[in-house]
Amino acid sequence: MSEQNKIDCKKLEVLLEDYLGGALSRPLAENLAAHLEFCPDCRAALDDARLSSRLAGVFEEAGDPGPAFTRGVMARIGVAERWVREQASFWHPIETLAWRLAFSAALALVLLFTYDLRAGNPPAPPTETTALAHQTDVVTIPVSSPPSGGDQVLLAIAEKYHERQ
Amino acid sequence: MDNVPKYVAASALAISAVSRTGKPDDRELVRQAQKGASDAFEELVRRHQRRVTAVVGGILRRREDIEDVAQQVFLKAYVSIQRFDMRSAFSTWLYKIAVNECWDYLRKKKVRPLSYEADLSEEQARRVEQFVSADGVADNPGQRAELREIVERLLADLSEEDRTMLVLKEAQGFAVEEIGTMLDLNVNTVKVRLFRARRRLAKNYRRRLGPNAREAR
Repeated sequence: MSEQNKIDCKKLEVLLEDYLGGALSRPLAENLAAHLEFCPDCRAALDDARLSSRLAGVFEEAGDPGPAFTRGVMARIGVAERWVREQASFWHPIETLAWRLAFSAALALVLLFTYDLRAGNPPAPPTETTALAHQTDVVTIPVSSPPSGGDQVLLAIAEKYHERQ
Repeated sequence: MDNVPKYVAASALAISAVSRTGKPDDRELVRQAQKGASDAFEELVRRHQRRVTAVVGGILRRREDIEDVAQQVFLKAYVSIQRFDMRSAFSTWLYKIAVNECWDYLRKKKVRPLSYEADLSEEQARRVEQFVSADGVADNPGQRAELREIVERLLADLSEEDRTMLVLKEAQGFAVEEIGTMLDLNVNTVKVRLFRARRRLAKNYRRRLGPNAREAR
């Protein structure tokens, strides 16, 4: 058998498996049967496969395990569910307490942050005196005692004039 | 219908019969189980326990563990049924769980297939020959058990996956497509591997027959 034929025969494994199981269409089965007549390698492979099928036939098909099996499964499910419930009932109060503590801590943090923002010293706004000083250097009227009339304003201007002199 | 395996035809008939009697199908039962109806799940267990036991039995082949692992498969299915999205058949999803559970079990137990190197005795070889030539008929249960043990020894040289495929196909009657889904393999890959596994088993059998038995053939 040539090397080329061996490669081609390897490609026939899928068909041989179907042929063995009777799953091959009639035309394909006839073609394969024709090939098997002149190919001893494929014939031997098919004989091996048939022999194995008979050997593996010694294993029996599993029977229905019956109602005891079903009861066993449902009992296991019952045990598992009980365990989950028990775990939940043991951890539930601890979980609730933990959540409450976490909420209280978060609230306290928010309050502290707000207090800190309000109690901080923001930069002082400019006083009225300095503002006036920027506007004019002629008259500086103390904020504590603003001029009560036109005479006082004139006096203040005169004083300022004399100071310059 | 000639090419359809008997058990597939039987299950198709069973399904149509169930539909005629108005009993809920698997999808309906799954929906109910997802809503927490444990009796719906119990019905699913009843319907699939034989096939799940067959899958587990095909992989483990240790009678004492089979029932335990099969029950564990159903427990896992119950726990994760909320995640089952119905994109495949419930049975396919269940068999996949079964296969994974078996691999996990074998890994945890660190079970390694025993390697038998001794040839078969003349008596054993004669019995196997008789069995093979009689087209796989062995009526005596004791004889069958002995033959099963011998074939187990012959299968020991195959990889776990190839051995599983062969037993699921030949003994448990699963279709190639079902095996492919269970093992996440393409159908043609399953066919090729099955065919090669068969050839290896046959070669191993001939090798183990021993010189006396080979001469007798």
